Amino acid sequence: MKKDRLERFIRDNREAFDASEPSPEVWARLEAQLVISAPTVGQNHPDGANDSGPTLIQPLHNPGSGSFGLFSRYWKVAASVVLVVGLAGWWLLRQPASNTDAVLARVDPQAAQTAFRYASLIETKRDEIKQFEQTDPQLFREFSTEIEELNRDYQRLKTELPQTPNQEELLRAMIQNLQTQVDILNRQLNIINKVKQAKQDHESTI
Amino acid sequence: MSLVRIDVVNLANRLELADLSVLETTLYVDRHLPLVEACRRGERKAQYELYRLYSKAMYNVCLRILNHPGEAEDVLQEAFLDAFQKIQDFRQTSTFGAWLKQIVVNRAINQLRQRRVQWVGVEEAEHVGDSESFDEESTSLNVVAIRQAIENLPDGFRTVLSLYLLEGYDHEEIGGILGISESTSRSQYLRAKKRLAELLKNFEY
Repeated sequence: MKKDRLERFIRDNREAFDASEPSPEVWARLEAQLVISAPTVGQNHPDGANDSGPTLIQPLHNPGSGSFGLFSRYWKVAASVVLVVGLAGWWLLRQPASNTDAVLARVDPQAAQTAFRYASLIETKRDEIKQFEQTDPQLFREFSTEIEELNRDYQRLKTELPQTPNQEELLRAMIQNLQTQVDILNRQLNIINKVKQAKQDHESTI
Repeated sequence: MSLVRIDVVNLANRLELADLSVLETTLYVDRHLPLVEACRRGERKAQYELYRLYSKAMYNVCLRILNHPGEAEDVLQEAFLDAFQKIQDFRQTSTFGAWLKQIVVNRAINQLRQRRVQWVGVEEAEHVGDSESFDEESTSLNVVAIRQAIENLPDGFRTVLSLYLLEGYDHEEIGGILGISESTSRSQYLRAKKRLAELLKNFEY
């Protein structure tokens, strides 16, 4: 059968028809389910030769009453459910606001690491600059408003991350923002050092 | 790497089909075999990697069949869980992607059946004229309009048309998936395409 215009058009533009993205929650839910069903995956068999899940779990004690033994499959499943729910609860209680960090880690674990490295770098540099607050309050204020503005942009991007259709692009924008912050902080530190140097020079000449 | 292999699936079977484009799709290299192996050992990282590689395409398959983002996400999640749990059954007679897609399509169709979708038999679909053929140049084609028009098709039309045009199944395979005859699939497809042409025309005004 000869292809008509529509068929040819769709064949030639096939990629553009896959435009939607599933939300990151799908992987989160899937991972939780994988954790629960993990005992059937057979980590005890590194050779991967096991064929069926259920036979993997061998009751260590009282083989007669396997289904009630402490090490029966159901106990393991129940225990992992409790563990997962407990950990999730603990995590949520501890970090009520940083849900997007988890999203970030899911979207791109590597980018999350980069972001984390930048964030700690920014923190140390800002601390360094803070020591300068007493000596020149006006310059310090100017410097911090500059960074504060970028930081606000960053926080806004971060809150958008869970909903945006194009997470990779947003991630790039986030990382770029952090890079800019580091850049500016470096320049600010440079200026501070020069100011300090100039003051010392000035004092030594008097 | 020695793990990269070229699989020629049912090549003899396919050779009987006149359509050469079908033949092209049967020659492939499965790049993700090492990941599949790691998945067999239950490595979460490999599972995530396969999810990352395939979730978007598979989600769009679900979405086209179900036309409902929430249901599509549920089916996507169940299908991946199913695939990871049954990965020992994957015998590499096809690529992992094709195998996964089969699971996804079957699950999505099962979900759709709960809406009591009927794929009409041949007798009802006898007179399918080609009056609204796409060969006329009057309608301009663009991706967004076509996607919108497909979304507006009734469930039965939309599934047959998507499976044929976008997922690349032939009518025999679609018949098998939907539990209908090959000729019903064919006539349903022609009717769906006709309706699509009408919808696209309406969009232009």
